[in-house]
Amino acid sequence: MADYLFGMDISPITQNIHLFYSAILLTVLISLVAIVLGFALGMLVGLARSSRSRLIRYPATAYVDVIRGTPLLVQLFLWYFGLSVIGINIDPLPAAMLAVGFHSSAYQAEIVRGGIQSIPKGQTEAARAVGMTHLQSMRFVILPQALRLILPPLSNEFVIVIKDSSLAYAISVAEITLVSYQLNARYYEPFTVFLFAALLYLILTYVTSTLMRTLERRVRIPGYGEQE
Amino acid sequence: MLTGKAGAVKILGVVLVVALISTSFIGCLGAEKSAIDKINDRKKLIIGTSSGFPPFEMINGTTNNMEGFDIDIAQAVADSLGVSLEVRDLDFSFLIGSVKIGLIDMAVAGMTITSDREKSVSFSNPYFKADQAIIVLNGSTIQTPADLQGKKIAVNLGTTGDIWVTSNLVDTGLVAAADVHRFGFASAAFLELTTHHVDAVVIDKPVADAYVASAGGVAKVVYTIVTNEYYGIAMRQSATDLVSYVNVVLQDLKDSGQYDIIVQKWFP
Repeated sequence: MADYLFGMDISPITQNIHLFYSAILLTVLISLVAIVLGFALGMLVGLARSSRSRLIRYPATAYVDVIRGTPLLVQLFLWYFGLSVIGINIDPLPAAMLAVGFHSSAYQAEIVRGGIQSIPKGQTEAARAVGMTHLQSMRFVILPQALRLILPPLSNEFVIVIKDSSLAYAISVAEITLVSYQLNARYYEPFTVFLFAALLYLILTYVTSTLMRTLERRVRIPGYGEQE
Repeated sequence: MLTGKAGAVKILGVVLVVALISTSFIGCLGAEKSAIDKINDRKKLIIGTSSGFPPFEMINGTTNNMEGFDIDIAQAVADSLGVSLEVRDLDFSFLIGSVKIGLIDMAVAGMTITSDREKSVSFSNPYFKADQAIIVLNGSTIQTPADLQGKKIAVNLGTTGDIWVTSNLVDTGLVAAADVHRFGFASAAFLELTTHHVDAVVIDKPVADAYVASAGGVAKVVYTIVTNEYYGIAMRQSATDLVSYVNVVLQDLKDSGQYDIIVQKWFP
């Protein structure tokens, strides 16, 4: 008994749709944890990258270069298999969250740095001129502007994280990609199952982009950025 | 440009030329070429396999080429056809899909003949018999399938070992679904065991034996799950000529004693 859509047999999907519920949950979970971890670390590293002190800036630069210079899949294997070799045994799901999270943190660090450095020097000068310390000028003047400025590239990075979570299939995390993979192994219909997987990811990324756009509108400072 | 009498002549001219050219292609609309014809045209037999499955298919450490029992069988078919052999190393679960689409001529990968798979591909006559086995690390207390309750197991995704674990351990509630780690290549499943991510690996017995022998004493086969499986070579259902041909080659190998020589080579 097969179900058809546009002439395509979609019964592998319809008969196993329940498998996708927990799969979608796992994809969302990995992505959320990775985004939050990436942002927390990314802020720290991004600020370090913008520091005037070379002692702070250089290690941060190395961190960003190494993580951005190696493939996420390889990093995933290092977290999962590599750590075991030195005695640290980690489960697939945490390994996936850490790998995707740390990977994203390097990109978010660069986004944060870009945001901070694009605020005109005049803002810092004015803040210092009214007596604020460096920390106060960051907290009350620079960061509020920078964080709003980086919402678009950050939104892009969040979409990338959702797609990156698909690599967790390689270490046997039962998220969307692995479930589709397994259905292909049972029904031998790669086009149908992977097309459905793509559709699920599209929905997730579209919802994320829309939410971010709403956030951008809500935190927008009226009149900010308009030419005098 | 295309107006008036001159235009009409031009259009007629183009139509005529297109029609003439099209008719020359009619010959190509004839019967689909047979599988063997395509292989002969290509002068190459393309097989798919999934490495890390000793002694059937594994990558030779020194030459970096694929070798093994299955490769020798495939080579015999290629030699018989008088063509070269190209081996593609794929994720096991992609093999049947690749055969169906025609990306590879046949899948030779210690693949068990099952009625489910026969819905998608045609198999040659059986060329090997096997059971499943449980591998554990030395020092493990696991001895029988019942001991696997509550444990973590690694399998090769899409294989009969995977199916056995799912039907007999997960569906019965003995093992949690999340505790079964599935990988596209058998070698990853073995790695799961040696990195202590799982307590056992369930895989074909001949492969289990070969792996344990090569693993330097860290693992052992503790139980044979009798499944009486037969390996077959998977081919497209429409490639009826190739299936018959392969069966003839397999029979020749057995009759000439060449089959026994290959068995001796890989199972000394």
